Amino acid sequence: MKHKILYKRMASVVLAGSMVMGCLTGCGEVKPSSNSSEISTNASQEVVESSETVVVEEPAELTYYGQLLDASTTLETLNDMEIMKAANEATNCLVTYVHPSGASANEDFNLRIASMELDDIMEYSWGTYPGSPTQAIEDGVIIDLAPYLEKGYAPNFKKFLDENPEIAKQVTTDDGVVYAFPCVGNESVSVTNGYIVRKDFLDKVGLDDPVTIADWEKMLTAFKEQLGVTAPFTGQTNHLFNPSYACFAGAFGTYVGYYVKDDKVQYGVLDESFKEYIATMADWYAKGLIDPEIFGNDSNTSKSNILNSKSGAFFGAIGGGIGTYTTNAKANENCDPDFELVGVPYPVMNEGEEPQFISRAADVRAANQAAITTACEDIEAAMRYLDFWYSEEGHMMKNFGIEGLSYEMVDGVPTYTDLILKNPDGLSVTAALGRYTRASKPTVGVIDLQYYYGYWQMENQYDAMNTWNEHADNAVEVLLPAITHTPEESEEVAALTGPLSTYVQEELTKFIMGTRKMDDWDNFIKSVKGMQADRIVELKQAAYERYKLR
Amino acid sequence: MKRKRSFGDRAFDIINTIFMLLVIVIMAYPIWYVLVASLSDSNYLAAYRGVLLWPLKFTTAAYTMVFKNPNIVTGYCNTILIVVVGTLLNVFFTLIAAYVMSRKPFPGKKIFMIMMVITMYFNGGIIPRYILNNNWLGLGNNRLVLILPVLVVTYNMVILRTGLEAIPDSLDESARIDGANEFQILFKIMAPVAKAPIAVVALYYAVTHWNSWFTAAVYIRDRAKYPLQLILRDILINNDVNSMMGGEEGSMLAISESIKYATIMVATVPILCIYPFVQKYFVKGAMIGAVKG
Amino acid sequence: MKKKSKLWNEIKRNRQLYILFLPILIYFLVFHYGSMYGSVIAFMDYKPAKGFLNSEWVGVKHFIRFFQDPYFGRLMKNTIAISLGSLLVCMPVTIIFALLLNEVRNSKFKRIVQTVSYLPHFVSLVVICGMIKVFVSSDGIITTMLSALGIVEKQNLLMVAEYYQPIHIISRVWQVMGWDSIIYLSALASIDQEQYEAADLDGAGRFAKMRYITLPSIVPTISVMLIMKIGHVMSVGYEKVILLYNTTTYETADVFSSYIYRMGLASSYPQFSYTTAVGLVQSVINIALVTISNYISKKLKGSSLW
Repeated sequence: MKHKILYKRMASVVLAGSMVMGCLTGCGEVKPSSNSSEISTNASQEVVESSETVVVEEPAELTYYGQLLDASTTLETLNDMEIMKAANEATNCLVTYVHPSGASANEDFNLRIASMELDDIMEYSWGTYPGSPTQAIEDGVIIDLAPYLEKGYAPNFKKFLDENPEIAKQVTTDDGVVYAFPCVGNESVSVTNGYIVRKDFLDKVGLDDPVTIADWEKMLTAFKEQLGVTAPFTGQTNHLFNPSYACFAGAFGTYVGYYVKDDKVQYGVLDESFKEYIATMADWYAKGLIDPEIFGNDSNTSKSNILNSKSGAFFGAIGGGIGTYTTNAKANENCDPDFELVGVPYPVMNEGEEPQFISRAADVRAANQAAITTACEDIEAAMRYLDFWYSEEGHMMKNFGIEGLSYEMVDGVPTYTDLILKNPDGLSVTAALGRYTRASKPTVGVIDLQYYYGYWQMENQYDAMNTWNEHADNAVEVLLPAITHTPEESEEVAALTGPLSTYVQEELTKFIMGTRKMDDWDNFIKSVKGMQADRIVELKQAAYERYKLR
Repeated sequence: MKRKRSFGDRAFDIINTIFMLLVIVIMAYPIWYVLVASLSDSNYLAAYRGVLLWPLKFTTAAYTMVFKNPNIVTGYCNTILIVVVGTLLNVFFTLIAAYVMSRKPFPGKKIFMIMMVITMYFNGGIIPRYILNNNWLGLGNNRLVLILPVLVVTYNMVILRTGLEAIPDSLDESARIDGANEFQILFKIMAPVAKAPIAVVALYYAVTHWNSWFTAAVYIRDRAKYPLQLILRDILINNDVNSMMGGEEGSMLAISESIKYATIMVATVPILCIYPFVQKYFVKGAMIGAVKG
Repeated sequence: MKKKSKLWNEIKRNRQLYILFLPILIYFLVFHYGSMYGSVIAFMDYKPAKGFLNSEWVGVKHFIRFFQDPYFGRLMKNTIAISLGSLLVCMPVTIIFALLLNEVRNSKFKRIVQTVSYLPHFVSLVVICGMIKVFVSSDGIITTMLSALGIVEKQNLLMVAEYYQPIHIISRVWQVMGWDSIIYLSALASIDQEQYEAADLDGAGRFAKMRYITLPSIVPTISVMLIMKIGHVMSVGYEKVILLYNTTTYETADVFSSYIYRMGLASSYPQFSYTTAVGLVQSVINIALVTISNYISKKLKGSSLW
């Protein structure tokens, strides 16, 4: 409790400071605020005593625990952000942001929970709370929002959930509890990763964008034989084994992790087609189509392979891949002047098929979901404040900031100003977005599609986005949704997955490198089963069943 | 007294010098690499592979960016404050502990020593420590939390004790006969003689304080109280966007490599300058004068 | 009665020492022993929100899980190989370096070497490991040199399981040699010069002096350092391992800490109790090793940590 008081005191200091600042920058009208502290903040008791002075309800003081994210290089606290001041005004709340150190957000959070040092609103990836968000409620950390939503405390958010039942399902637990106000990206770009190929290479060997696995093999072979590229497909271990990046497997109709088929949770490694996937990779590796050092690479080495024309294809992101690499290559005289990247479709086995296993972000982003804690005394105000970010006004502030400052309406479309795109202080676009908006990292509210258009400056980035997102929703059928395990299940899963994933990755490496022969595959599967892969599937299935019942 | 140096003697010197030159080259390379990388154009750096010897397209842009961060100056001030105050307190108390442990056996000495040694290998883990420091001792968000919990480090105490034990007994016996008490013997007689080990221990503490960021990350909430390393970590880690993460995160351009290296330089160079001051206590025979005088 | 009064006399005689030590004692009891009770969570299913008082006791469940892990043997083997290897290589190299540096006659040159030698200690591990990767990649400088000598094949050395431990250990020497030598150099500085002068008169050569004067003078320092370092045999930090290893070298590189780190990430389920249990086992082994080596040292040389 002592700390709570301390924060409150800090809040008032900050408030005083910001009020002084506000007046200095020329705010003419000072709202008359009542001196009487007895006036309740409860809306139902609002009594207008005098007909002459307008009694403004005292703003509700709230503390808000969250990361500074991309504002960390420019601001000491989010309280200094223009949109936060505007949001306070719009909601008649006085929110004081409290930040964990960005370097250790998780540890900081764990310690906060361990010592029960709670702020009114806390941002965290609540889905990963040990033993599900329900446990967080049982532990007395956060509160169930459902009853308050029913009371109409958060009309915009409620409306949004009613209109998007799939989203509602993801923020509701197995027990019908709504635990947080999340960042939602359902209308936005959900696939930002995919296969990227050197367009200039394709032109040189006279091939079109590869579609099927056979096309890929042809293309990589052509790169190797005609262009003398030593590591045609580059990347890192992850790009063969991490489910989100190892998307060649998808063409074989399988997945490097747990997925759903006919309503049953499957472990891809046990699939018959998974053997084909690994056999193909082993074949490519033996033929020198895959970077021989792929297992030893880090992101720097694979990047330099692309920039130095040692490689012609990789798996990457629109921003950090196409964007950064192209920028680097264009500004570097040593790079091939023809350097050009293109995002190619997710590979399939036969022409005409649609890719299914696509690296698609969940509609409800896992990070920085805002929950209201048991320490909050004015739940109504906290709900009102969080709900604001789902309103029309809050939505624009989250995504674009303040009109006239960070964006202008051009032909009815919000467009970032040069304050963001060509920052006079030399801030990168990311840093400028972090300084003036809350768009660049997931935070409470809905991501606007226009945000992406706003700062992707290159045409091939748009093209890649369109190519990759064309079949994005196919992934929803096969990818495992955000299921939650009970505490007991979590522990068993954790204990079993540790050894299993070590074993699987190690052996798959051997198969691909050819140090273990494909003939030995059945023994491998036997060992995988011996390590209770089926039991993990069973546990995931149980959680999945509960998810479906939500 | 000059004696003619033998052939073997001279050969040894030559080989030794060559060896030392080799050591210089190998040991200087990492910091040279960081320096050169920080002065390179990051677009060129990204494509480069191999041994980096000179800046690629020289530019100081990275340093301009780092020093634009308003927090850097407060970070420097906080760190210097913590290093100076912390190291003084550390050395003072460590010296006392080492002195007591270097004395002839007395009842309880062994128990005290074992009690301290155990703390080298055992600790209660981060959460109990947090509850202790933050909730019970009320050190949360207080710069003292960066000093008090690491007041005496057993490892350093042992180093200092070994140094004190090397001092001949004759030295303090004569003082004792003159009626000096333990406190006087420690600070008037032993401390001046044990300059070299004290300097080492002071260096160890100072470097630890300089580099430490984790404790601050856990306990300090107020950015105005952040030490330098934590601010730099913020720059490095927070902007070190994993280009492969889904959604919004993945769409960002990562911070340029050269800024990372400039940050490391800014955070490292000042502490490197401490060493020459320590080194002067390593002169051979520092003790001789004291024994004779 | 007589014995008791003797003890009392002893205590009384040393009262100044007790007074001096009192603040140290308080410090250790409050800051170290105050939080040590936290290790009990190894015997609990600890849930942060429930706290120490209300979490469920589960006995040795976590310990059993640890010992029954299919990779227990391999992890143990690698942990010991890497840490013992580092110890056995780093310490002699460091000591030899300190001795040789001590022999450098030109004091300015000596100072430069010394200053430069400890620089790698200040470069962050991430940068150091990044450099190692470049050097030992198939076209890296180290690979090129070694393959020219016919020692290795021209391939990425970090993708060969047998090379992982040598790379880990040698790069460690690179990073800590200069810094660790500081302690020996300070010990060398306190050697009585008269001994050397006397040896000069006896016509002792360079090596004879090193062998019979210099080395014996720093033996107490060496043995104390050794005892303290042996106590860390079970603890190999995970950072360097996860920066350098990959699926091709798990076999020789994976240690307890990296394995647990990976498990934690894989499950995104912070296993406080389990990791504490593992840490507890490591601590107990470490303390046992310290005790044993201290005992041996006491028997051999009469020097003891306590």
